[in-house]
Amino acid sequence: MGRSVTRSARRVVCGALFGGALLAAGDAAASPLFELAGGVGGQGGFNGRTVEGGASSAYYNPALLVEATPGVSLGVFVLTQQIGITLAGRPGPQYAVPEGIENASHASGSAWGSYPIPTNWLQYGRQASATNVALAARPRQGDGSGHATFAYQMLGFVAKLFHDQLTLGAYALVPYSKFTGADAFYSDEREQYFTNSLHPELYGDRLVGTSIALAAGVKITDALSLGLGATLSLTTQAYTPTFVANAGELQNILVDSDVKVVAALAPHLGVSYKPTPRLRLTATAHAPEKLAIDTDFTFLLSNGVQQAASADFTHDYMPWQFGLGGSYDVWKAGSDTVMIAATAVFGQWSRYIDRHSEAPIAAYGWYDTVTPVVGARYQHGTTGFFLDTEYQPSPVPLQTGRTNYVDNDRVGFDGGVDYKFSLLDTWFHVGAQLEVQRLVPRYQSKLPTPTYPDGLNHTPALVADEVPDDSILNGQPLAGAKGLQTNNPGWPGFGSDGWILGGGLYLSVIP
Amino acid sequence: MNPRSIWSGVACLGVGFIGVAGGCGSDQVQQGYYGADGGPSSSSSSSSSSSSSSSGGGTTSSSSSGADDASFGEGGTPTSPTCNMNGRWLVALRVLADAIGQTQASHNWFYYEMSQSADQVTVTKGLHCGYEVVGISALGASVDSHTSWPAFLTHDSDTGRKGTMEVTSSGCQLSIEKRYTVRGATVPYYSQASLPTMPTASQEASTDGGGTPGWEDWDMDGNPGITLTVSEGGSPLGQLYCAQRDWNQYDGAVPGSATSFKVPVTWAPDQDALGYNMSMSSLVTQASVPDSDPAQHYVWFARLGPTQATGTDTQICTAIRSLAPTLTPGALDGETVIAHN
Repeated sequence: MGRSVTRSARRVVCGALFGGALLAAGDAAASPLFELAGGVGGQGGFNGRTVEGGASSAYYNPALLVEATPGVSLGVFVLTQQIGITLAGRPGPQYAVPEGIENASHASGSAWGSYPIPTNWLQYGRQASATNVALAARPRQGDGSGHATFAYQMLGFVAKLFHDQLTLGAYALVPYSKFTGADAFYSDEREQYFTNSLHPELYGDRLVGTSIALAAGVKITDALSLGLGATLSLTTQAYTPTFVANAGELQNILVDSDVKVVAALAPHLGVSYKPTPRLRLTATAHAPEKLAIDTDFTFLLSNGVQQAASADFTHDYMPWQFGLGGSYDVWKAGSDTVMIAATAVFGQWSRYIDRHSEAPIAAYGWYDTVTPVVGARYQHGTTGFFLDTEYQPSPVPLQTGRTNYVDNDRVGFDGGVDYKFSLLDTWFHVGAQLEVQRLVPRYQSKLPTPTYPDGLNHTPALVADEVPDDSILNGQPLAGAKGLQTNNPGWPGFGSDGWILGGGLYLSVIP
Repeated sequence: MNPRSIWSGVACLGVGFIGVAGGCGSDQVQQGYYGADGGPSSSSSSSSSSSSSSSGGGTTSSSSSGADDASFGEGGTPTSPTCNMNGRWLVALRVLADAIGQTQASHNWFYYEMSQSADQVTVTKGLHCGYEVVGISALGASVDSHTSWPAFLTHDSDTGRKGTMEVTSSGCQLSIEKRYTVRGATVPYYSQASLPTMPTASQEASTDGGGTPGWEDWDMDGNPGITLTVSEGGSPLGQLYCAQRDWNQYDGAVPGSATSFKVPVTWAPDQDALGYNMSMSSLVTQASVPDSDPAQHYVWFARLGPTQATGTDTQICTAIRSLAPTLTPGALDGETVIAHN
């Protein structure tokens, strides 16, 4: 009876602890890399939420840590993304933003909301003249970011405490190139001022972040275990007071900086239950994660005028994710076992926040997704093999309007081998894995944008007319203002497809 | 994924894996125009060479607009010249609907520029030129939507619609993918695959930056959605304000080398009455359903000559409506021919 009470109490405490931790989830940083790559080291693969994967269970399902072999793991993982973006040709010169619009206005005399760059200047640049300095060209899709190769150091650690009742785990993928990368871009016509290109929304810089997960797994009974973990990263707050001595010589500004970097946590939990020796059921929940960068500026002019501005960025956003899974040993004979495993992961992508901390416009709200994963494991003595496949539907609706979020459905395969051996009275695991993921080709044409004589935007979900139809210049109607003029780099349509390949080697030492 | 694309992808990834990304799935920009002074140009670039840019220059096109005939290229190469959809087409859709025991025929007119590569067909320019509804049975209502035709042209588009044109033992088989058309409401939202419920009278779309979807006053007459003028037996009944969503899909055999042909259609309507100013409102606001006879739903394609239906989009659509009774009389079998301008 006493033992039963103790166990019940332990379950209540654990439940309260896990529930409280999830409710307390704040801004933290992200692990899109974990989600894309699957477990590195061990047999987790894409089914890491359901199958024990060594130290990587610290992220995917910490309840499975109780099954993990204690030790230290080191590995190298390389991932390459080759995502091509094709922009449709602009169908005619009448859609271009004309030159000489700097002083144009609405018919009422009010200024436009913003002023685009003349399309010709964007594409070809502007030569220096007596009155203007040269402007470098920003040709459409001249600065895309779909092609990159990244290498990571994998670090893993698993330790057993209290007669194996408690297992601690740590798992990290650390980029060799830089500790963390975060590149913001706009997904509409505003990107003309920067790269004038489209970028894959869920790859690129999201794969350049140090991803660290810490977790603990508790063995409640022989059949039931619970786990609680957190991913660890950084939140940055930057304040840059600026003195502008001469607005015509911005190269001479004086800037101070006040930067704070704060560690943040996003919790996740997992449950593992084995109703029979061959069957395992799992459930996981991962709280939303993001790398937040809050930037505040103040500008002080020599005439005493001071103005402030701020810009918030959200990188590596990952939504709430809930996983359900099961595995079953379909065949066991001696030291040979064949297991099948399946996982379904629900992702609440409808709450997505992009790099400029903006939610997709309501008419193009993102979808929640369910990602199915199926796979098999074969253990033959000290050698194990795994093969998983997953289908990740894109949460992004067809981008037929103003925004150009580039994303595709993804089909992936992940396979690996693990070999255990003894050397000088010490056990080792050595393994390798390879994954191939296909971004299914996708194409979208922009819907036509109605324009109106009043010069107002009545259809904000569609490609913006950047030269209002009621525009005047020097009191006369502005030539070339009627109809749609846009520098939206995704107009009149774009397509994307690609491949992602990853592979790695690892070594684990068992004390 | 076909084997060829898989192997090319693996080879591409192998190159990328060792850090050389050039030429592998590189970004591309198709030929286009960048200003009044510049001719069409194209570029191909990749992130590995940020200096790459437009080739620029190029000869000035004889076309001043992507909208006119001269700008349309010859398309790709079809599998067989007898099954060739490359070119410009008048597309006249005729479907039959039933509502409260009455039968009405709907005529929709489209302008398609099509490009075909092997069996794959793409509508490179698809204009919605309008529709009408003609009462067939004794008490069937007729609907005039002409005040919204300019709005259909500016809001709706079939550009990018895909299909196939395959060679068969008896000729060709044309299949055009399912496509939704939304009228009088926020097009991108209500045409989503999840098919959100069409807006009610209280759900007006916002025009601020939030872009909350809802009905939109397309014909700018102060009434919600689009305004349809309804009549019966030549007698006006009044006006109906509504938002509509319907879909259609074309699939059927086509004779080889045909320049005018009929293809069966499957379709379904979805209409929300947002208001009315008429008698017998309960009758005409009822939802209709496709007639149970599949032979009553079809689309006619007629290849356009080089001088037919050219000019601006508005001019093209005016010509399309005018040419429809002549080039696709089969779309009006047994019905009164009405001249449209």
